[in-house]
Amino acid sequence: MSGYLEGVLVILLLNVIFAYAVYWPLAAGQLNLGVAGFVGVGAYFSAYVSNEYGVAPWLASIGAGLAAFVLALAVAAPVLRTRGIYLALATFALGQVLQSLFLNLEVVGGAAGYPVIAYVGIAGIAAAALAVFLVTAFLERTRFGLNMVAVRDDEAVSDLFGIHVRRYQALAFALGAGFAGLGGSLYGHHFSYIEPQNYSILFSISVVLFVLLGGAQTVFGPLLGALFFTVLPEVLRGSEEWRYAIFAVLIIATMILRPQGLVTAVELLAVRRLFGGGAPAEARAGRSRG
Amino acid sequence: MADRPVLRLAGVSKSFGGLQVIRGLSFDVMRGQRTALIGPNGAGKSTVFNLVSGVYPVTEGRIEVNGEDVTDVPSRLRMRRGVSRSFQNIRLVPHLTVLENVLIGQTPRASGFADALYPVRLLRGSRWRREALDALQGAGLAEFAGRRVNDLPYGVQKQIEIARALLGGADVLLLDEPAAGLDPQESGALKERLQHIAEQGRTIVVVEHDMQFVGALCEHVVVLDFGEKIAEGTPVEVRREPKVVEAYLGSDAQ
Repeated sequence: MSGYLEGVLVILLLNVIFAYAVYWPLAAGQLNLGVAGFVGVGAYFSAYVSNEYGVAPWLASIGAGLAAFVLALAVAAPVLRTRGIYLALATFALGQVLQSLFLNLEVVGGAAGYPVIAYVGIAGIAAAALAVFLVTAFLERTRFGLNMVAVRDDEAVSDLFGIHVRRYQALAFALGAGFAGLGGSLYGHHFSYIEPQNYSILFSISVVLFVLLGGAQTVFGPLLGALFFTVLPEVLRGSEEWRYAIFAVLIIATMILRPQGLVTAVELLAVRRLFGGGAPAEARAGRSRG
Repeated sequence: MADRPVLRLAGVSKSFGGLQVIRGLSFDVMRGQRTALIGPNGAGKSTVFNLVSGVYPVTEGRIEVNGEDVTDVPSRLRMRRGVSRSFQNIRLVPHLTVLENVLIGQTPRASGFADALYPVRLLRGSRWRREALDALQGAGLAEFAGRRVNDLPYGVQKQIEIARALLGGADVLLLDEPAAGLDPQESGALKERLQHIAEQGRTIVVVEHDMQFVGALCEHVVVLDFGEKIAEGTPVEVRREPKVVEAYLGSDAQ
């Protein structure tokens, strides 16, 4: 594999992980604009424990995911008390607080950045991205995933049907943060250097943007969004300065033509019908009787 | 046990700020009884449902289900205590399939950690799925199981809501205007289905405007006006009450 191709692929895989970090809160109806903060928490956690204590990078990465998960659970109670645009602002503020924390933590280099010694190659990152996808795809098929859709759609009715709405929202938020921490850790171990500037609001916004573009209704949306956002800039590289303009136009066009995202449940159902696997077997049996 | 009410409201009042919408309301509903809550618009019928299902806390009084005081039980746990409901405006998850919506109705009986991680949308032969499909079959909805709720006609969606409410396992079913928007044939089928459900031991309480439907289905009617009970009895009895004629039928007949 050429170095260039591998470089693009690593970015794609990391973007897939970050996409699911944003997808989970969105699945519960929350817009998390602070995802960069959790990415940073994971990156610094893993870099520190592997540099200072010699913890193996894979173990440090899992620890990083857990650390971000626990931190998110801890802040979930006050943050998720807010609604809609205020929730977005609260998560934004949280991201800013975390970024300034990294800037001022001298023990991990502060503004100068922090080198990461232990290296993780493309295979490790691919395994993590696959794991994140599989965990998400599995959870979506469980009662947890089903109830999450109910929570996003109608909190009041979900509550009456015995779903602990707050707990579901907190878990979605924390699960996303855990994925963010994992991705952040792998980023640091692959590029061998992290600095606070990486974890800005711009990063959070671009991830949210590609998840929304890909579609936040199904588990395949974030995958497609990450692909779109990683590959397109590379394809447009030939057009030099114009690529930013073309990219922007394509994004706006997608938003106008597909406000619900590139792929939704409707398309998935249609694709499954096409291959005969379609609607559940029970339903087909019912239809042939009727 | 036999004459213990399955649902009891004792002196229930509800105020929103200075506005009292329910005043000292008391009535009992016996097991298997088909009860209607009727009254002119704004009489407080839906508010009573919201109080019983825990959407609003009561200002005063007590609500009992199966002899247990549920007045302070949070709304999330009311269904496990025996009260389930449907809504005046359909509130299903529009982009999920009929089967998936009905699966959500099972949550009160499946709220543990292992239940949450059970892949109900993956395992075709699971007992949860079979149960949900049986319920749809029983309601004559099996052919819609794999369809998105959004794509189905209003009458079908109303029936799905009832099927979902039934699957929570609650004894008391509160149905908010189940016959509204149905054609005569659909409402006739609904009446038979509700009778069947009641025969199986469930207790049905409806809020309904269609007096013909109430007369055909219910054996017990509670009439509300301005948040107060003005009459209670069989459909024939309440129709004879002068207060009812004045408040409800009188204003309707003009």
